[in-house]
Amino acid sequence: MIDQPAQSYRPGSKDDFDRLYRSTYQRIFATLVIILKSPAAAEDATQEAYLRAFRAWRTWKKDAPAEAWLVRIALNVAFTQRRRERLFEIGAILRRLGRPADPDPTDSMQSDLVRELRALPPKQASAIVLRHLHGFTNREIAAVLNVPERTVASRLAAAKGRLRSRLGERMNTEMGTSMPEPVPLEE
Amino acid sequence: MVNGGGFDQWLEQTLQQETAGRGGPSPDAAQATYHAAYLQGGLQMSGLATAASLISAKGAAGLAVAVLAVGAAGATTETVVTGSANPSNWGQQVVKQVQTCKDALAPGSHGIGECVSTFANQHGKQVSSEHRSSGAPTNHPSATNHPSATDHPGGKPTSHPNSTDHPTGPPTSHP
Repeated sequence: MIDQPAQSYRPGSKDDFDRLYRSTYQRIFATLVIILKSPAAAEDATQEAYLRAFRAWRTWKKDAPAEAWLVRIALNVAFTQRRRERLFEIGAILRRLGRPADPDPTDSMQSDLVRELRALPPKQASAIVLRHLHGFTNREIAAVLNVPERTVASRLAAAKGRLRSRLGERMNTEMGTSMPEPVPLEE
Repeated sequence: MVNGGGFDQWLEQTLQQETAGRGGPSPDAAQATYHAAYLQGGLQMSGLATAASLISAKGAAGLAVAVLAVGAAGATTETVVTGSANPSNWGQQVVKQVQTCKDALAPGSHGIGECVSTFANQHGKQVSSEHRSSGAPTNHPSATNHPSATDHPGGKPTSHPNSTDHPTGPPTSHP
């Protein structure tokens, strides 16, 4: 974890927020590039996230890492923006009378994992990003999401179950492992 | 065997690869949107928002209940007593009280909700009793025709757009 110790940040301090911004910006931006389609959209969302975070900076509590708190805000911004994009896409389809849009060149550049991650429900995707991209513990995630730790575990399990079922074969190819036949459970 | 550990490892590696080299623009705080908004003074919180941010979630719930209970009864009376329909006077009092309650707490301890709620309740009772004893004219001269208005002083006041323009004016027709 590259984040500064929580004790080193003072809620409401502009200087500390500047420091937090400098130390987390790259990772937050990279995270939002995964969730959103374009780097430009990710940059807008990142700036919006920091603006919201700064407005709420004095309410940040030290029981959760500042970066995790920021990631949560950033993901909320990104998912809101994505919903807007989808509504816009639906509007565009209606305007084209149902004809499909031209293929998006950025789609072919996405990995299967990114595509599947974007298809997850936002809460599950957030849990995966916080846990497996940013490396927070379940306890830290629970604190920042204000949910019980078991809820985090359950969201992670559901998300990974779905990703595994969709991407297991690819993972096996890349890692040179093989998926065993499922063993039926005895009653 | 694809165990959970193997999948987790693959997941982490792939996500790291996906984000590698996607650092984006330079994180210069001076160029950030929040910094620009800060310089323009656009990040000032309102009095009530400040109060809400100062107290804990539990305290906020307690305060909300108290303010709702008092506010509903006092919505009309506040105008009469303070002579202003603007709730910022009350908001400023709450902000001051929140700070007072925080100062009274030991460092590092939480839980000012009760302190603030007590203040809100006292304020509400005071305002209500002042209103009753002063016999201040209601904005609903025909309230006697509507028992619910007196039976439920905590109810939501009905809207009378001209009520502040003519607080002591002749009875207007009740919708």
